[in-house]
Amino acid sequence: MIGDLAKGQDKSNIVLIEDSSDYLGRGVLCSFISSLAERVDEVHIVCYDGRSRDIKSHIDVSRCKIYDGHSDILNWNNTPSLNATIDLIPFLIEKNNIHGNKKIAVVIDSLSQLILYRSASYTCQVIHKLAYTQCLGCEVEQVVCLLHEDLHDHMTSSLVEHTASTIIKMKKPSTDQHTHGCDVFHKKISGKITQISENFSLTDNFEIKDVKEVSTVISLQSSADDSQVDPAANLTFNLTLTDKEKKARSQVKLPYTYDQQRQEDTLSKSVGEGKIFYQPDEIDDFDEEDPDDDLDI
Amino acid sequence: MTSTSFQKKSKAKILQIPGAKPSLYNNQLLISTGIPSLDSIIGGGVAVGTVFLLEEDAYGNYGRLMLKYFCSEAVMTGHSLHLTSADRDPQQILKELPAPIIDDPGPPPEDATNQSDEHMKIAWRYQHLPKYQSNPTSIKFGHYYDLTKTMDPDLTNSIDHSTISEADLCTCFSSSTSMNEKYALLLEKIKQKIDDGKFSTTTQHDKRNILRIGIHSLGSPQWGENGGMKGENFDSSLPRFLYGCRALLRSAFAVMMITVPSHLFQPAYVGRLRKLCDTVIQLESFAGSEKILLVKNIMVC
Repeated sequence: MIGDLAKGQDKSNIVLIEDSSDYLGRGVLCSFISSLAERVDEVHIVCYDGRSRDIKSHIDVSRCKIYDGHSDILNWNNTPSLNATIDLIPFLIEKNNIHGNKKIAVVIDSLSQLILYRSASYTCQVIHKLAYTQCLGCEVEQVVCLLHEDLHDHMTSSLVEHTASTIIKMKKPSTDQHTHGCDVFHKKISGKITQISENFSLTDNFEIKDVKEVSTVISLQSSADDSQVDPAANLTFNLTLTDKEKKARSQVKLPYTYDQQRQEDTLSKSVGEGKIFYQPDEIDDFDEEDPDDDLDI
Repeated sequence: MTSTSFQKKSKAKILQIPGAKPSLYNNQLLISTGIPSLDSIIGGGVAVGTVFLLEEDAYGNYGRLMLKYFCSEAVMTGHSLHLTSADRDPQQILKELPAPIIDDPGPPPEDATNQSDEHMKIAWRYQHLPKYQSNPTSIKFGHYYDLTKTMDPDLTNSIDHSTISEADLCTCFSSSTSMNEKYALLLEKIKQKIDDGKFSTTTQHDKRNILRIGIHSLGSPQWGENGGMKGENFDSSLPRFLYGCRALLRSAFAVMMITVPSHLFQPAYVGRLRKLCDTVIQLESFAGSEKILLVKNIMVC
């Protein structure tokens, strides 16, 4: 998953890499930058963090534009360079002459300074605007941001996570064979949410390799065999009907249905004719013999 | 001829507005949310003149979907629609509305009824009785929609609709002291819409219609909301906005559906928002939750 995201095979508008002082995310950020540099025309790297100058020494920056936003971050020296007090989007527009048919990407290292000096909502608005509106005058392929999660409270990071479409949280790898571990949280455009925990290693060229999913599978002992037993198989009586039997059943005249023949039979019998049924009592002197047998009839 | 001042006491005349029906409980005028099963949960529908708060699920997908149903229902009933979103392009949301399922089969063919007589065995005493339709066919209130299809744009354009996007809310310079200026501007625009469209109860209008106001993801960071906090204290902008909306709607033929990403706020703050709305529904989805992950993994092995 993380490999596909870095190579751009899984589309994502805003990628947020959350790291902490123990598990740094700048390596993954470099991996995204070097992949973006191959895919888009220009990569604009905004550096608010003092450590981000390392990026320049690590990767090929021929297609990247780097803005130094950290050496005078509060504009105390009145230098014209980027600082946290001026708005990023007008600054980028002013510094560049971006044409409509270009494809660019914006990398912000890191959002933490912006959040601390401005506000979380302002930061969210900036990255949302960069990614979804053509405010720079051309299509923005991807916005990749680094966030030092341990500097902010839960509320602030949840605001930024709400805005991002992919969140990569750096953590300790669960095995010794890998150098990095992370939790990836990807919101697809269709609305599907993918959540995965992975281990991986970074090469010297910031290539992500040996990606292995950390499975949290709980293995359940499947009880007995799953083959469904037909309960009607070995019965001593018959539950099913053959076609012939069905036909016979459908011809049965049920008592509540209207039947001309039966109606007439009952009517004709009851007219002009009577029947006497005699049930002898116990005290009845019932003669077994025929009383008329002596007669010669 | 003498006339008396005596008048026969009769029920107040109930307004006949397409897509609206009086409540069975209290004669309030109701409209459908676009999801008939939800309507029955909330007592038949949303009462006209009230604010409906929908607390979004964690990723907002289902909240957005329900708002789309609400908008689709506006298209089907011919109500006016006013849609606002800062997170998404509202025009895009209107393009993605689900298409209605037309479930009117028309008059059934003659021979079909004869056939059904032959097949059904029935006690002969009852055979001559007239047939009754077990379910009513005239569903004017609440429609069903097919999510796999999108609404015909011509149909959407057939109703009076207007949208407010993030860009429209940025052009505001009025510094409102009582609340966040985006909220203030939106409230002003809603007021204007009610006045322009003559949806107010005080204006006379021979052909009444209902205004449906949809606000998507109100209170997200795009509105400049810091999770309901202003420094150390709660930010009272959003409660004030809701209060203002309610006051506006009480005297208007309008219904407001607001989706709010309430998971971004503190629980106490959400409680405050809930109290300022008339109907509140909280959504929770399985998407991305730990539980479903567990279930999925169990199913796999």
